[in-house]
Amino acid sequence: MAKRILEVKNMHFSFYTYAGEVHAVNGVSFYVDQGETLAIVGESGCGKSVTVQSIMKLTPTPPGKLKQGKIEYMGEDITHYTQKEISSMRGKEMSMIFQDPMTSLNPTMRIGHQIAEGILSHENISKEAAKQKAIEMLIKVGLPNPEKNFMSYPHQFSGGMRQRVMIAIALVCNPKILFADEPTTALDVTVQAQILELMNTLKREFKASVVLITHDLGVVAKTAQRIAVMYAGKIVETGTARDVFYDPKHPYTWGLLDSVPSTGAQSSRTLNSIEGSPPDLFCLPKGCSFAARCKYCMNICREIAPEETVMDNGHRASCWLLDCRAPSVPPQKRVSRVSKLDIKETAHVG
Amino acid sequence: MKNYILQRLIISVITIFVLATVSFFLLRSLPGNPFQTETVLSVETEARMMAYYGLDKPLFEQYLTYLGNLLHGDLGYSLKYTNRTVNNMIASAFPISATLGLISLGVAVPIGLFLGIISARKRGKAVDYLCVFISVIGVSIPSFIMGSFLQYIFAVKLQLLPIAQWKGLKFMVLPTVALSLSLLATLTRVMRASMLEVINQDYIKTARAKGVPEDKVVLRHEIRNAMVPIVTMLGPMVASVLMGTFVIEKIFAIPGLGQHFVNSITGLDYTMTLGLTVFYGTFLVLANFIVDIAYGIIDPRIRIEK
Repeated sequence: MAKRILEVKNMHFSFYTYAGEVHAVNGVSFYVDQGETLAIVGESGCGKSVTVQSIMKLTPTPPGKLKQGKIEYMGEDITHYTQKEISSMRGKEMSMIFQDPMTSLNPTMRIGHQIAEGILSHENISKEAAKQKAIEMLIKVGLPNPEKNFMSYPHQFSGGMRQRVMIAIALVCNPKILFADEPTTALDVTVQAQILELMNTLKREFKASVVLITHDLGVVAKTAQRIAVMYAGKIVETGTARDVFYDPKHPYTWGLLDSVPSTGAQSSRTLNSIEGSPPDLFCLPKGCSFAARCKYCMNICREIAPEETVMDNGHRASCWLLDCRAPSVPPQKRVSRVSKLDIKETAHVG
Repeated sequence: MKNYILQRLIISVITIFVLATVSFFLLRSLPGNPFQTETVLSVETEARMMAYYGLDKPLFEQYLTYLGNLLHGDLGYSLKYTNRTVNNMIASAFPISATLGLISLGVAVPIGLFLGIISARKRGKAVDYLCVFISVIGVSIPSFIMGSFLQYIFAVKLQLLPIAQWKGLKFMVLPTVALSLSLLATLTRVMRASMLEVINQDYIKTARAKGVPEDKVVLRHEIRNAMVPIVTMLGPMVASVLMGTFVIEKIFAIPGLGQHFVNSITGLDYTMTLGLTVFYGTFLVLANFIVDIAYGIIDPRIRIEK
């Protein structure tokens, strides 16, 4: 069995603003094993980024606060690490790639120095050695002319090149886990594929685990072994990519899969969407958060939040439909067009 | 780079030329002449004075003469102070104003930036409110009130420092404090705003995410990026402060340049006003030129390509 790298148990994270408490993350639990890619999927504002950023303690506190929960890294409880303690782990044990490569690099610092800075923060080596390492890394992420690029500034690079630099910065100290916070959202479609490919290759080379945050199911299908679907600060369904794509259990997952636009000739002309919008995170409904938008909403859904139902193969979902007393929804009504997603079996490395 | 400097030089000369020309004609379009004062001169005397200074010639001819002299760096005789050239007066008053200005800047810049940084880092805490309070006080209290207040406390009541004049180190303390307080206030405000903007940038998060220690995040990533608006502001600020401040120099009886700016225009001292305008203009152009170079050092995006 693969080694467990990270485990998050029942995390609650809130922001205290003038307007009140924003319940950004409400009881999230997940784990990541060595070498695997876990995709966290959900629409904007569902707490995906806050979840991973609060693991690395990158969310400003205050106004943010980790109210409850436990974070374990390699079996060690890092929940209450100070900024100083966690800082020595960032980059070396866990690192992060952000959504917008255009704003994620320091505009006044040379590319090479930004990579070398990470190395020098963790390793006691000379500046020259750090430079060599940075140059090697630039080659690994596929940037030509590393000597020249080392001395370049971010504004001289395109978005795709900058995201390559971000990957170089993130992986240069060989971290065990990489959080990729929508790494391809801000990029051109053609560049997206290259960046994903690069991430996959380097992930194998560095034997790292990846937590990929995205709302693009196409990206998930290409890279992830396991999926966690997040809604209003909760993971509503989680399981292997196969299970979640081919046998989704939660109506929100059905909606997500149905919203993927297709390009086939016989595809319907309308774009499907999930009606309505996510609940106000200031005051969450007492029942299931998705009840207001759910086509299959029952009376109980509005009253009591559903417990997690565990199915075989670690597939879990929180929905009252899975209760034995609930009416069953025929599979063809759930998701009409799963087949359009190109899901390939991704080998489990580790 | 060489081309750039040359280009800037040419633009600078044109700027100063335009400045001199426009000021010349604007000044001459003012009603009255320098010799109309409370003591009424006879018509003949006035005419003789006008002739003596060449003010009776056609305006355009005077303009050409003025430009010709300007090329040699000759700003002409003052019309108010007998037998003193404008060059001579600037040469004696400017060092005093510049000394006061430089010392004040030397005090205000480090403290102002420091307060701005602290204030932004501790946003919403007591330290922040204190810094904001200091900067509001500095901006909103006029320097003549601050100056008189300082004189009253330290010179009259405590008798620690001389009340006015410019005769050595001790005399510099009060005017420096009065002047630097208002400079410091502006700098604190701008630096705080700039820091607050930078602190929320994504690249600061990136720096933290790669494990850079907090002190280096502040120093290398935050402060450096927050300096751009400060540098922009510093050019004109240095120029104007070195030129002297009328109010503070007046209150502390400092024989600096500031008084001349006011006196020469109210007395219609054509040559003096023009001389000061051109001198200030040149200085400002120079300061902005240095700012442009400094930009490039701080932010490569605005760096001039070699």
